[in-house]
Parts: sequence; structure tokens; C-alpha cells
Amino acid sequence: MTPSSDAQLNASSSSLPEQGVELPRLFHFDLPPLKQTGQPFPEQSDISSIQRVLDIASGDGQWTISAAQALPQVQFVGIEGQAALVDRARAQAKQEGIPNVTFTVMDPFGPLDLPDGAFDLVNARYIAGLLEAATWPNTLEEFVRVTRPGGVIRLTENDLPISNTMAFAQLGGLISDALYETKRSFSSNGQLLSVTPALKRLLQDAGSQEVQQGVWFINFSAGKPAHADLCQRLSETYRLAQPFLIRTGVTTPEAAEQTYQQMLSEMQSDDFCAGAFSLTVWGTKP
Amino acid sequence: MATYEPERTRNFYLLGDSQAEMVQLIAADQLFTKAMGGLLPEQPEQAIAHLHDVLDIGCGPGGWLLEMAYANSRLHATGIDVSQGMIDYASALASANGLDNAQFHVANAIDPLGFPDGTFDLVNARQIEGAVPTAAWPPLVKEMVRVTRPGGIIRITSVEWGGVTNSTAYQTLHKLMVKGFGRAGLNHIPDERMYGATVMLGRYLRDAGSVNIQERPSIMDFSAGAEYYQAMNQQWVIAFELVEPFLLATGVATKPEIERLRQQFSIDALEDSFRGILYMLTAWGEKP
Repeated sequence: MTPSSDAQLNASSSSLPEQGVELPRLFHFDLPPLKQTGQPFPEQSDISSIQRVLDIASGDGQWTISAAQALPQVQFVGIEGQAALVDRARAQAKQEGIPNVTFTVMDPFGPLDLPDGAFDLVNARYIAGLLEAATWPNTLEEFVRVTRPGGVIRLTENDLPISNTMAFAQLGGLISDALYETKRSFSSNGQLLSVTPALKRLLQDAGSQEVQQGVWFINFSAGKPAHADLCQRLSETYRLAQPFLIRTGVTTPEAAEQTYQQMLSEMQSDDFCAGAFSLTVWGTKP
Repeated sequence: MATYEPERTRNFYLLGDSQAEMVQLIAADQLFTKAMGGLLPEQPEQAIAHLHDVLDIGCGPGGWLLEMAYANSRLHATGIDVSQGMIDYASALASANGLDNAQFHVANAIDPLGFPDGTFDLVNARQIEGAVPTAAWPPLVKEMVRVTRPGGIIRITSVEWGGVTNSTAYQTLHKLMVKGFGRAGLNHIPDERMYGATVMLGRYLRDAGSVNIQERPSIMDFSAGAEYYQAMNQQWVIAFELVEPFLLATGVATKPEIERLRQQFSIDALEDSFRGILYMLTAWGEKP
């Protein structure tokens, strides 16, 4: 087991080469609906031909394991650059006794050590923030390459969650600024991540066809079913993001910590309102 | 030159009250209805068939309501708007099309609604976030619930961000607008990057006493080559012209600055690489 403090970064595209100063996956808005409906790909009209799924940057495997649980006849493969996260994902899958999922250490945003046409569906969720905007075209070409003809490439992103509280807004803003500073934002001024409007054309340019897009919204205000789950995940993400925010110079350790603590207390308030629009974009490989 | 003086006019609408704005709204009504998937895309057909009395708050030139009245001749449709010009136009259009089941009144949504309790089966408000100050929302939604019959529907649609684009000029204009929203009391959340009405809709409906609250998002893709590219570009060009008095009155930008951004946006929008998506949310609840 690799200790998590010594996480190895295979990614070579990062503009922040310093080890341990990486961003985690920012958002998990699709997890509560997946757990509620048992449908990992609700927009796909026919999933009968999907037998092998590649999950990009599978992290600690939460989505991959839930999806594998929901579709026991489908084989899921997660690839992730950080060995420590892969270890955690494997341990979790073993503990939950999910046989139809495997995890491999591999840079998900470089050339993939996978054969052409190996998967029926390649899924990349909330990867904005994990790679530079300029590397998306090559990355998506690789996603298309490892998809079989007729298979699906599927992307899900969000431009920033929305909330009625101050510290939550400030932290979202800092993340947007930090992504801008590190060339990971699609925005030309950092206002929002601006990734969702870019997806359709990126997928077309990477060689996929019949590209479609669908929007969905999750409300995680106080009192809503997704509140506890998503607040806990965002708290975890924003805590892990702190070193990255400090490293990029958009905030100081003291300010980041103070804002973070304030956000935690805001989330517990009955007045807390929050939601997020996500855009899922998918195309087929010709 | 039009001015933005809500203290005097009691009209808080950021794009003002002009013929140009009316022409823009006539086109916008149709675009938004289409992008949202229809007049009431989220309501079951059975519920639509049982509608008799419908109220539209901030109806503008009446596009949505007249289409409702046209689709169902048994429907009795009522629209209110703060602008006499919009109401005159909507009334004229109704009578020109023989729609005697539609009527329009001048009324300000920041005042109590002039209808008895339980008058309507459906009370609708689409994109009133640029016209109704935030402080007036809770009492307005309460009024909407009051004039709805038990079992009837209260339905509100709002736009978030004005649009997410890859144009610096657009995003800068948007940033100025959010700042202006803050100063004019139109913003719903303390975030300099968002309008925020979308995340509050469900809460306003709940606090006003409605139940079974649901939400449905929709988008309008106005990227180069996308379905709404041409039509929305025309919309933005006019909107950025009409919003100038608002931006000047709220003191968030100077005239030369606005003109430069507007010009830059019209260039950006012509680029093949231009990308933009508008996000909106419809929330609806039932009166118990």
C-alpha cells in the first residue's frame, strides 16, 4: 500500500509539478441520482449492448463501484493516475464484494495503455480541473480510440455550483480563479469554469458523431435528500483543494481555512440553499 | 436616451420599457418556449387538460399566454405586466387573433395581486428575475399561492448566469450585470459570479406554503453553428444595447467601457469558435 501522503502523480500535463499539490475531482453531483435510480447512464436509451465500460480518473472508485453495483452484467474498468487512490478503490470494491470492477494505475489524460476499440462506453465525469484545457483534444482522441465502433463516449461537467451563502461562493470563486491561473479553465477571465459550452464541439472534433447533450439539475439545499451526501463530498473536496488554492496564490492558508470553516457552518444552516446544473454530452464512435 | 429610475417609475426591469425591448421580448418568448420544450413541458397532459383559469405574471407582450389561449379555446387566460406598452400590444394581438379568452391588465408584481383567493388553476411567472427586486419575491410568491385554487399549480422559471460563454467581452458584461443586480437589489445570493434566483425558486415556493415542489432544467445552446446561434446573437446585441441605462444608473460601468465590450462581443460572436449555453430552471409546486 502506498501511503496517501506520498501519492505518486503519473500525470505529466500538470503545470504544478510539486507532488501532493493536486486537485481532487471537484464535483460528484451524479452520485446521489445514481444511488437513487440505479442508472449510471440515464440518457442512454439502450444499454443492452454495453458490456465493458472505462471510467476515466476513477479516483477512490465511488462512482465506478456504485455503477458496477447497479449494472452487475457490465464489466467496469477504472483508470487513475494516483496509486494511493487506486489502492483505496480496490479495497472498497473488495469490501463491498463487487466482482465486476477493476482498477488500474494509469495516467488517464496521456496516451492510454489500452487497445483500440476495447470499450463499449468511455465515461469521464467532472474531469475539468484535472487537466489543462489545451490537452482536452488529445485526451478526447484517446477516449475515442479505445471506444469500439458504435460505442459511446460520454462527458459530464459543471461550471460551478450555486448557493445562497457567502463562504461557499467565495470558495467556488477561488477554485475558478485557480483553474484559470493554471490554464485548466475554459473561461477567458475565470468567471466560471465555462467547460460545458465547449464539450459538444470538442467531442465532435475528436472524431465522435451524433453528439447530443442533456442538462440535469440537482438541488442540495437543506432538507433535500441530496443535502447531506453532497455537502459532505464538497467539504471533502474543498478541504483537499486548499493546498492547490494556496499554491496557485489565489488565497492564503489563513484565509482559506477561515472561509472553509465558515462554509462548513453555512451548510448546516436550515437556510442553506444550493444546486448545480450539469451537462452530459455523448457521441458515438463511427 | 432611456433611463433606469425604479424609484420614480416603480419599474425595476433592467432592460427598460421601450418598443425595442418589446420587439426583443416577442422573439425571446418564442425562443424560450421552444428551448424549454413547449408551453408547459413538465406538466402531465391530464393536468393541462383540466386548466381553466391561468394567470401569467410579468407577461410582457403576451407571447406565452397567447399561445396558451390559442392552444386551448376553453382556457381563460389573464396576463399582468408593469408596462402599458406591453399590455396594449398583447391586448391588440389577442383581439386581432380573435382570442377573446385572453385578457391583459397593467399591474406591478411588487404590489399585492388584484384577484380574489383561489382564482386560478395555474399561476405562471417566467424570467421575472430581472424585473422584481429580491425583497419582493417572498411576498409575490405568497400572493401567487393565495390566488391559486387548492390543487392548482404555481410555476416559476428563471435563468442563471445569463449564459456561459468563452467570450471575454460577454463574461465581462455579465460580471457587470451581476454587480448591477447587486446594487439594484435584484440579486438573490451573495455571489459576484451568479444571479442565483434558480437555487431559491424551490425555497420561495416552499416558504409560501406550496407542496410537492419539483424542478426541471433546460438549456439553450447558442454556440456558433448551434440551433439558437443566429436568433440569440440578435437578442444579445439588442439586450446589451438596452441594458446600458441600467449599468450606468447602477454605476458599475462607463459608457465607453460598455460600448467597447459590446463591440468586442459582436466580433467574438461571429467567430466559428464561439461557445455559449444558457441555463434555466423551472420550479413548480401545488397549492395544498
